[in-house]
Amino acid sequence: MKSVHQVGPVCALTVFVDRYLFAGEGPNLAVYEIATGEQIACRAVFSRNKIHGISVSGPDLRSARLCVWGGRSLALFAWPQLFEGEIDQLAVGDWIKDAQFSLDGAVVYCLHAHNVVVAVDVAGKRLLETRNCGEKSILYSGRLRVLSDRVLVCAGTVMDGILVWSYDDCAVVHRLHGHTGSIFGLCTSDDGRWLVSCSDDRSIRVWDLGSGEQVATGWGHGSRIWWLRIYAETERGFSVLSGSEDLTCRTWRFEQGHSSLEPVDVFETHTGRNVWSGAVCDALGLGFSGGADGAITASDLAETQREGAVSAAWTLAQIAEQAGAAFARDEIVKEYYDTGTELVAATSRGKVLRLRNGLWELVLEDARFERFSLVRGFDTGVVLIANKTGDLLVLGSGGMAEAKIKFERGVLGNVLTATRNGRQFALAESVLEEPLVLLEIAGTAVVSERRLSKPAGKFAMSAFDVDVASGAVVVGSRFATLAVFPGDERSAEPRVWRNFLKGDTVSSVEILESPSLQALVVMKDREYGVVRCAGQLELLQTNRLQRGFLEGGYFEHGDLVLYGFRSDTFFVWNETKQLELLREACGGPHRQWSFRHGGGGHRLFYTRSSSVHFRQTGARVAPETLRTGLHGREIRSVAACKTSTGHLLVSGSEDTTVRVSRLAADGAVVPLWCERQHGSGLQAVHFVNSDYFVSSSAREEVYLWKLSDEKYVRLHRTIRPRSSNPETRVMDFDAVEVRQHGRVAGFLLAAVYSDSSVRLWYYSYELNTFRLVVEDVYASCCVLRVRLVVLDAIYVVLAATNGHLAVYRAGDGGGVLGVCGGAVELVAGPDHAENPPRLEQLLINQQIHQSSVKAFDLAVDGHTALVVTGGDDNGMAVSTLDFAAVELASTYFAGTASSTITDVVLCGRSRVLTTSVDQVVRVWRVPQLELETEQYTTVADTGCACVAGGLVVVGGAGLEVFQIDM
Amino acid sequence: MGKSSKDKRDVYYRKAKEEGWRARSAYKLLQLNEQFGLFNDIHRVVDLCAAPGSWSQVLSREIFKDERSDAQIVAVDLQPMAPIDNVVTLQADITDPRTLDKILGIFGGEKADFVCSDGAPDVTGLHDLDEYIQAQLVLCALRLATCLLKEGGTFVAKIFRGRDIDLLYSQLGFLFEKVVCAKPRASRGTSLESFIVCIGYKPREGWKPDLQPELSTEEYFQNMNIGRARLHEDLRVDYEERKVAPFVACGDLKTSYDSDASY
Ligand SMILES: C[S@@+](CC[C@H](N)C(=O)[O-])C[C@H]1O[C@@H](n2cnc3c(N)ncnc32)[C@H](O)[C@@H]1O
Repeated sequence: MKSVHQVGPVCALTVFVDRYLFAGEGPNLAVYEIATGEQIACRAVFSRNKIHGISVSGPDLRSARLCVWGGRSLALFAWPQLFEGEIDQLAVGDWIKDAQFSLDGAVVYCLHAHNVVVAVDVAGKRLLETRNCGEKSILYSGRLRVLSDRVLVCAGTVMDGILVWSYDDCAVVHRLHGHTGSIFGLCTSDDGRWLVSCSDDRSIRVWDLGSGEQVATGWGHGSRIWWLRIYAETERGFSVLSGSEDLTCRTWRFEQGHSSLEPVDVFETHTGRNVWSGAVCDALGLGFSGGADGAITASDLAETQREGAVSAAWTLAQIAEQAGAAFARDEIVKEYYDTGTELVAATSRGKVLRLRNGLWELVLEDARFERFSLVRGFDTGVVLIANKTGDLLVLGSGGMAEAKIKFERGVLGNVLTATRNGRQFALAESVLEEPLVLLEIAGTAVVSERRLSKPAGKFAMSAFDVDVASGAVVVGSRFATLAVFPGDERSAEPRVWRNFLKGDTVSSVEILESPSLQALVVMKDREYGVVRCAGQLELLQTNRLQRGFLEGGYFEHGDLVLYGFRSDTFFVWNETKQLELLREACGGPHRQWSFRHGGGGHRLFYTRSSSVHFRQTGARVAPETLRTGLHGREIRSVAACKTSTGHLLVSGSEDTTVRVSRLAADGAVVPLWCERQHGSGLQAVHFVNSDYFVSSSAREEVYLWKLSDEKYVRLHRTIRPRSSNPETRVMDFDAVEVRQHGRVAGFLLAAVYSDSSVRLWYYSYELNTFRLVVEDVYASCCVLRVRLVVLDAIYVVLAATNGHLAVYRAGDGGGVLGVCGGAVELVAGPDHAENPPRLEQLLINQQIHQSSVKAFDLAVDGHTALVVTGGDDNGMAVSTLDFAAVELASTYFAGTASSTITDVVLCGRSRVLTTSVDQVVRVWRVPQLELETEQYTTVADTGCACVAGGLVVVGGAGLEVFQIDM
Repeated sequence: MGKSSKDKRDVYYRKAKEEGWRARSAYKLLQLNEQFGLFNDIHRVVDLCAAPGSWSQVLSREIFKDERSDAQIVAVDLQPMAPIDNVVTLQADITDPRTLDKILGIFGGEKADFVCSDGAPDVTGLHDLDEYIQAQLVLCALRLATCLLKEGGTFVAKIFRGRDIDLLYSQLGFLFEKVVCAKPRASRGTSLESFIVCIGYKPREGWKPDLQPELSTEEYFQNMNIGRARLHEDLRVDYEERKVAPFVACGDLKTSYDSDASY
């Protein structure tokens, strides 16, 4: 077995010579060039331990000496050894908290968890001496500061605050009390004058190491704070970057003489829980963070000072003065459109203004556009101004044209614009029920006009796009409605779908590049989807954000980007990489605003208290992410399914999300979607077949998902909870196909619950419904796993916390199900029975393990099955289950792992793979249970595995992919 | 993101409320006792990491059921603890060697029959760190036990069965007749928590009980020769023996509740 890919907590980050970022990715040391984001080196440094810290000494990369530590491991090596040769595994007798080079690089000082400093000769890799201050209780954190005249040790204890002592004379300099609880993070200023600390109590404190006084306190994080970095040091003060369990990184400013550490910025760059590591590149003004989700992101700490960055606002008086146009008393800037280089705005008194290079000018004044005017535009820079009577001003770079939109009966209610392949389309709507008018505008001239019959009933268009290839027009409306006008049959009625997604207003429609007509549709109420609307409307992809209102979305370099408002901020979010790209505090949702993206930058105009605000992001000095993450908390279940290019990997986590990723043949995992529909931590995910998979969690959530085009996933159906206890967890389930008249009609799903319930559901593809066909209760313990076996009858095999394996004959679900030729047949449609039948008969209920049977797998051959179980008791059992003779014969093997066995996967009939909390993946020969290979995994809390071709995916606190020969 | 299914109150929690225990943990100790008869003939005990104090309650009830002049319970925790009948409480960090010295002081040279620790650190979520700290709490308790426990005495401590637990099993094997990993049914199957039950303390040959408060817990054991890695001049990594301790689930299947079934 060979490890080929891993994602997991990033516990160490260090910036070197302002150009490189060194990252501890599990046991691997990766080096990135900051400016390009390119990984220039990566190798495993330790065999078991995760990297928790990195120090680099030297003037440049080539001559750099590295000190890397993690747990009890230490490694000292030179840069070239990252590419060839062995790296010695060293140890200093305890868990290392910090290690720093002496100024000449000849010595490394290691502070370990019992408050002892071990000095090491770098060249000889030998112990020089150890020193301590006489107090050796355990430390949660520690920092060394090597100064020209001394070495300062800052030690963060569990109960006694911070101990500052001097390495040179082993004397305690200060005992700093103020925090409550364990001290989790410490950092000193370059000159050793200031110390910042964070703890359990969510505060950050600044200490003057000269006087030993606490001089400032900062509050703001919503959870425990793990680490701090001082940067931007000046005569008067410094800045701090902090990382927390609340998932944010924050910046703070300390100025001497002020008793509060002022909060400056908040960055939300990780998902799940915990930001474990951080570093600052002072010269470039970048903050880096590594999360429990495995992501490494770069936050721009100096975004507002970047080239091209603008942050400006104009009051009405300023606008009037610049434009040289007197505003009436009640005149306001009502509507505007940002072309990307200039803003065209209309006032409530018919003035048209232009903001160019930071200056406002009056373009024209036209009484026809008083009171009601709409300002829209195209990506080409052409701007439209329309009024109620359908007068249309078209402003282009070459000049202005006029046009008229005529409705039979009503006046103009709305006009929208879309730009596709450089072509400009405008869609106008009357306030009455009459056809929509679609114009194509070339330059500033209307070149075609088309009438599209407006869907009957409630309809108020809110977004649209045109498929230039077919001429089809896709229109989104309020009332969660989508209308598609086919391009070829000009007169034909549109196809209309109401409530195709949850919510009300469709905020954007974007046609996607695809052979059939597909569009990205974003709903204001934070739902979004990809739909195919060639014939029937088909939802290919559905998902929703947790918070905020979505105003739009687009794909950029294959990533989905969404934007909208959340409490008082406007945000731009990379949904694929799960990363916030922009946040602008703008005082809440606004009626009048304009957002543009492109060229890596973002532009946002918004009106607040009648002033026009403008924010343009500056040029980035580095990519936003250096590494993409996955789940931010433990992965509880993984499943894979073959596709034409490799596999799709589905993972369910305690972070309540279901992730769909691409698993490449080389083992790389590329995230596609992060589905947030579950309301609680996941228990199981399994495929039904290559089109469908199911996931389960607490609150009795069982969700059926449908895959499309090997890349989209949508929530297809959910099962309504049966019990009133919301805590009941659906621990596991299994599905088998059900046929009717020789065709696949649906599947039978057996689900087992933490309250000992066992339920069988019939799912019909045609009706898209789940019907309960069998309901029973096994015992009073939690049922952990279930498998369905179809032979002469349907059998339910289950395993529970009582250590038993139980086998039921399921019965026919009250005349609904039959068995024919080893397959389940639908005999009659299930009814809505309030009380479905119970399982027909408990055939076997035999104790195999001392406590929980955590996992089992079985392989059926004739009327017997080979069953391999793994338990909380560290043992495994290999059993033969004879369905005909109703016999279960087991051989138990104790101590097969040093901890709980969490998953068992049979690979054919002769091999079985296990995962266990001792972080060893083992392959055994069965039935004799001989160990064939074992492989240590860096994934802690190892909980699940699946086999995908020649790859094994192991999940837990992270994910690791192994190549395996089987 | 929705609320995850942590921190839910289970049947043991409700039962503890009814029966007057300060924490559901009481049932873990009671079930361990059911299995191993831990309370037979114990009079002098140390309960480490004892807050809020349900183990001390259980022990106090047990030890002071008959009048005995030599009976004694000392309970220690970082957190303050409300007084419990017949229990001497101490608020201190057990990883600080001076705390252990204080406890020895309270015992005034007398031996103890039973040392237990239900200690759990501030779990950070960083698994290797949490496991390390947990192991350190066990070692601190063990350090006290080696100085205080009478020959044949019993040591019980909470462990996380993580990747290096087999090192600890092996090392405990040098000090006790019998080392068992026990999982009471009151402890959730979904948590990594278990208890190491070490029966029959046998001091290392030639070893004189001496706490040496100037040593860290690591240093203390490096000198005891129980197979723990040491600090070497050349910083080499010692090979450390690993052993799997036998596993015992305790608490009667029929009469005890399943802590996983109902939260
Ligand atoms: C699970 S509780 C113990 C419950 C207790 N056995 C009962 O039955 O009430 C774990 C305790 O370990 C304590 N603890 C953790 N680290 C400690 C340390 N270094 N020194 C002393 N106590 C510690 C915590 O304060 C916490 O009260």
